[in-house]
Amino acid sequence: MKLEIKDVHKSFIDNRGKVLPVLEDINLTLQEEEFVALVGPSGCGKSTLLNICAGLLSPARGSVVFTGAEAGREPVSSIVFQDTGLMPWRNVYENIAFGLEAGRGLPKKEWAERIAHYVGLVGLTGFEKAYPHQLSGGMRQRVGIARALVVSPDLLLMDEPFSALDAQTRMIMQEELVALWEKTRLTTLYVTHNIQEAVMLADRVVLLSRRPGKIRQILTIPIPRSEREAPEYSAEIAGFVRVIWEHISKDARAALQEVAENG
Amino acid sequence: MAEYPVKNKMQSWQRQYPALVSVAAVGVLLLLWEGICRAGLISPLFLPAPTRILAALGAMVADGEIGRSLLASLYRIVMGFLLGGIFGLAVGLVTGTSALADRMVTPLVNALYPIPKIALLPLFILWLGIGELSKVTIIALGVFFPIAMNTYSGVKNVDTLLIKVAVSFKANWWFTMKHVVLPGALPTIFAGFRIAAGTALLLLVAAEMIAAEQGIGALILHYGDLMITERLMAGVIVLSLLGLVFTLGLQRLEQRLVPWRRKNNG
Repeated sequence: MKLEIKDVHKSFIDNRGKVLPVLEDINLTLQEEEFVALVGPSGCGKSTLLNICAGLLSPARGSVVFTGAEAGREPVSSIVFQDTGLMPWRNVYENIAFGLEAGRGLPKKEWAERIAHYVGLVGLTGFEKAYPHQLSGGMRQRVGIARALVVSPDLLLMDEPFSALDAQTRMIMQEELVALWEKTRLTTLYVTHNIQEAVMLADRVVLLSRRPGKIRQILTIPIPRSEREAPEYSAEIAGFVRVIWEHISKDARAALQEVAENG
Repeated sequence: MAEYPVKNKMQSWQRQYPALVSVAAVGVLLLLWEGICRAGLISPLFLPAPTRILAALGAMVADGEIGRSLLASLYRIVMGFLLGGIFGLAVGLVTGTSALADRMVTPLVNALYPIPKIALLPLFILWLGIGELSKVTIIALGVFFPIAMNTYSGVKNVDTLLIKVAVSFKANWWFTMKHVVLPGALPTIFAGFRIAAGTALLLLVAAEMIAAEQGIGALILHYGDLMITERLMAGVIVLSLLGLVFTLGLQRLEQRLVPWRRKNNG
């Protein structure tokens, strides 16, 4: 099954009534079991695109379609939100159960086993009764990931999931995500403004330009994901990071110019 | 093999309608009301038609009855609000910042808060006489509590980090109060103002119905006794407008004083 983003456009109206184009001409296909990272400077509309794919926002034009799906069963997509979006009044177990409760797909007697599996997978065993406020930022986002995975999604959408974490926790979470992804091999769309992170995680990195966001370039990262930490690839990884940064910094400078001209 | 387009599941939450819809809804309701009254389905003694109420209101404005009543009511509510507001703000700020005042005064405030203020009116009349002072005092008392309590919790909830910033720059107590604590507490203080506005209006009408010759509350009671329903309802409309003006005034003031906190709805 693939996710086809076809000719998507989106604009917002600012508080002065001016139309701000946010996304233009977005055409992209996520292949089965592919990890795609969307990278761009802030304000490039990458989160908007993710929201459209998630069915949380309507595109002004164009469509997002699952193709080659099994007939009779609508594909499920799960979102891992930037600020986790955990319910403060539910403990870890209840937060992870949220999707199962809301979706009503799985018989209740199978919940416990399924939840226990994902609790173990993200390393939260023993914390089931804890409330979100009792957990560290990294632990909270693990709950967010478990909550997304427990409904067996066909598509995983991650919206800057680690951007609120400190650098060390972030590194650990990245490594854990690589291991986790190798186990689940879910088609994934991952939004980030961290170039290093995109290169470490993704099969393909999609570069968006700044306002309106257009696809500027798509880079394929040919290094096997689980070996990207290895020293022999560090030069190649650094090369990708540099190429992406060159593109993005060009955009940031162009944006500065734009503001100067308008002012 | 099948295709499944991604549909926007947030659509019903994101949908927006023009403001005209509100006007149309009110218009339809008024028309319905008028129609029912014209058809003679309900006796005008119980429910006069909107046009008749409006006519009565017009006549009462023209002969100065509304003006006199409104002036008397406005004097009481404005004085009461100012008095209660100033005291409430002061007590809230002091109890919120001084641990000693907190220990001494807060239990007292909490103990007196649940008393229905209108129950104290006979006592105030006994102490202060039947004149304006007893009515102003009862309104001030009703306004004092929500403002004092909201100011207190607003001050308590000011981000400690911001106070640390102030202290690290050697700001003194007054400076910290004026430039950090008060702005930080303002949104919560305004929530208190809004609650207080409702309380003030309630106490105003209640006090005027119990012990006043003039004022909108007295006017409503008077026409109720005489069973002149459209004049009674004209008085209610004036009260509703008074409440609206109060709310809008507070909103304007809040936008002026708290520009860094834009609400996205309403």
